[in-house]
Amino acid sequence: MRQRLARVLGGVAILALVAGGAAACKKEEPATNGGSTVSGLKIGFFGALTGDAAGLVTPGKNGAELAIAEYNAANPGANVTLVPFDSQGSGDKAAPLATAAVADEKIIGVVGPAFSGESEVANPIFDKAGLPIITQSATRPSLNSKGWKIFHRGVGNDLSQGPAIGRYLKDVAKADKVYLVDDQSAYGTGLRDEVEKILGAAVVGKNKVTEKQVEFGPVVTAVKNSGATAVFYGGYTPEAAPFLKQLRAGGFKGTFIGGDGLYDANMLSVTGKADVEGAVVTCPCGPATAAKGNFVADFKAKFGTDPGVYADVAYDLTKVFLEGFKAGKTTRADMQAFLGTYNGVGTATGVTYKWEANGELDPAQVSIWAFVAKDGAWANPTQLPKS
Amino acid sequence: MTTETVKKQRWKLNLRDRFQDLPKPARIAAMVVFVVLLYLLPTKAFYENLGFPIPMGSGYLPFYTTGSDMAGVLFQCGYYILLALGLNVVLGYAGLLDLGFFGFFAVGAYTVALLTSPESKLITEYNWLESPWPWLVTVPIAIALAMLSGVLLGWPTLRLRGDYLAIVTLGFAEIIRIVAKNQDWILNGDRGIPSVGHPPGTYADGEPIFELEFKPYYWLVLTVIIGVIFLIRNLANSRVGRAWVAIREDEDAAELMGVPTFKFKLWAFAIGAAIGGLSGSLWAGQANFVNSATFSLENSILVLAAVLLGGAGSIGGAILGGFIVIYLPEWLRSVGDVFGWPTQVTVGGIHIDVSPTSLRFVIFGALLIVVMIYRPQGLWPNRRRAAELKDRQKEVAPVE
Repeated sequence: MRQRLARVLGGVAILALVAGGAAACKKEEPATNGGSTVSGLKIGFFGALTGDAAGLVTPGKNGAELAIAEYNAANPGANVTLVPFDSQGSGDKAAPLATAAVADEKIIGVVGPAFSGESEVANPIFDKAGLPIITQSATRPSLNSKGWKIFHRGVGNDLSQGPAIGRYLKDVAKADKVYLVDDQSAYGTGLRDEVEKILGAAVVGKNKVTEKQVEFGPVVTAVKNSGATAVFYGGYTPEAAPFLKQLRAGGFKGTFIGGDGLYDANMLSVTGKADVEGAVVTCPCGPATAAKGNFVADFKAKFGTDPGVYADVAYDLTKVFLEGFKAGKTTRADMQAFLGTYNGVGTATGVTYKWEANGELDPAQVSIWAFVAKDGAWANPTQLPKS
Repeated sequence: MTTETVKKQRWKLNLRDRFQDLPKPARIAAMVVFVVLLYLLPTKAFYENLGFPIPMGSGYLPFYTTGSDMAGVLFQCGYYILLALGLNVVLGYAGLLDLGFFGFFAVGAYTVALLTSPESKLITEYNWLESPWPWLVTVPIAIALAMLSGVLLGWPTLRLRGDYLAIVTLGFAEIIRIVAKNQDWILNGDRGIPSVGHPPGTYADGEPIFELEFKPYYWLVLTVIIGVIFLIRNLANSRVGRAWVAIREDEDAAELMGVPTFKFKLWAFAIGAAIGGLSGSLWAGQANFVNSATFSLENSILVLAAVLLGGAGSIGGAILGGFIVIYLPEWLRSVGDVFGWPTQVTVGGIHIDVSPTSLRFVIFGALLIVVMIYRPQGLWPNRRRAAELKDRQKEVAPVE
């Protein structure tokens, strides 16, 4: 018995020795690690890169990657890298990732978080560490009022998109009977409220669907019974695509319109070419495939696909950080100050980026675009009037 | 059975028996060392000090999750371990297949969020509360409410068994999620509740200990887990635990032998739910923001997978399972970067994403399948259940 006790205690002692010895070795490390601070800077990209919502975010990551590759090619020795943080768009995954981003002192700026829900969790962590962020697609209006100094938004928020959709329905589609459907998400409901405000009496009915719903029979019947000539859908592609399919199968022939949550390739492929034809989506972003400069060609050469939604926005926002690097802003505080006074034109989007005190993009720079599905592609981009 | 496997098994048994044979002080000393190790886990220096060989020379630490904050991952593991421990009572001991366990987590999280957030509608719109309550006060309320919801769910449904019970509980979790999503009245729909309260305590310089920092939360959840383990161990070894096992093995026989099965099943449900609610209240404090997006069905399934992977009916198994289902995908996140694996391959002009970060759930799924084929009793099985499963295997196919 006693022998065994001695063995255990001896083992513990040896373990302690090993750990202590290793600790002694470790102290030499920082000397080799502490090199130059200018080269090897990093930019984070925060958003859903796997899971349901990856289609909306991955093009943006590629855009950011492209910007950095070009910067490194033009500035030998700069060696900037992109660090992707795959939050899967979910709040409970976001916090440890944001903490990891903050802990990496080489990360001077973050593009993202892509969604509003994860922003609620991640942004306080970024704010505490003073790590500046520019989001390319988190459009919940209330994000600007949380007192986060590091918050910047590279696109207009939902309050700019909703009214534009309403005006589109009124002036372009000339719809006098509109049926509103939303998915009860903060995004979908918020957008629907804004559309409703513009349309007023033209709204003939409203309905709600839920996330992951696949069967829309009752809603389709309600739409048909209401005699609506147009349907607005506030939400995302996974529900909108089967809904539109069933709506068409039910004999609905009018206009179908949705926000940027529907502006992706899945909407076209899942719904089917014939059924999606004529459907309209809007986006606070210009058409990525018609971006200015060499962006489209470069993107296609690097990734083998056309740039998807927000690819150009993320590209330009990444470039804002890179310009900061070039101007010698290599700390988070400097970068934050740099963004505060930044005023420059994005080469791909053509938008002049400058931010208000609360982090919103200058309202004069917000533009809303509409796209119409034609022959299995989002075509005919038009900028919608501001009022 | 070949002689080799016999030898292997004997060696394994020996290891376990040897530990049991140690004198009590030695066992306690070993446990204390182990627990101290657990408390040290989130410290990065700890890994560097261990002096693991660093094969790639890029500061790679074998067990450290460089793609995500280590303390954060461990905290996530922590509340999943709590959930797995809770479900283990329901599923492992009492044998009730509960597919909606995450619903109790949601009840706990929402209770804490509603009562501690200054932006909760209870305060801002209805003025039912004058000011947010302290986090510590709300935790017992969260546990009690989760327990109550367990009883309320169990009362009508525990007359069902097996698959039927699974379907009903599945429905329960979905109802909670959809109510949370749609209910604007106090839960604020999908916009959620921000600024959830934190446990008390400040450092000497007035900085709060529990705020956006993971390490203190990890230490808190670890302490809670240790407490819960003691509670469950004592319960399992008591009359209640024996009743649960009797019910799991054969409910009719147990009833005939005088075990009030309904009462004990309800107990198991309530205790499991209470632990789930406790886990939710810890998570809500850390996350700072609660909305329905977190309470998806996948999470309920993940907890179930944790219990089955670890080994149903075994506390060690629940802990191991809860740890693996969170830690492994998070660890896989950073593996590719460290080894410099390519993230994309181009086959015939098509770019295919092959980075472990994107494929981590595929790898995890494959591992689950492999484990379930070769160790259906789980990685750290309850001995009695393992023996039982072996008997059943014999019935199906005779062992050579």
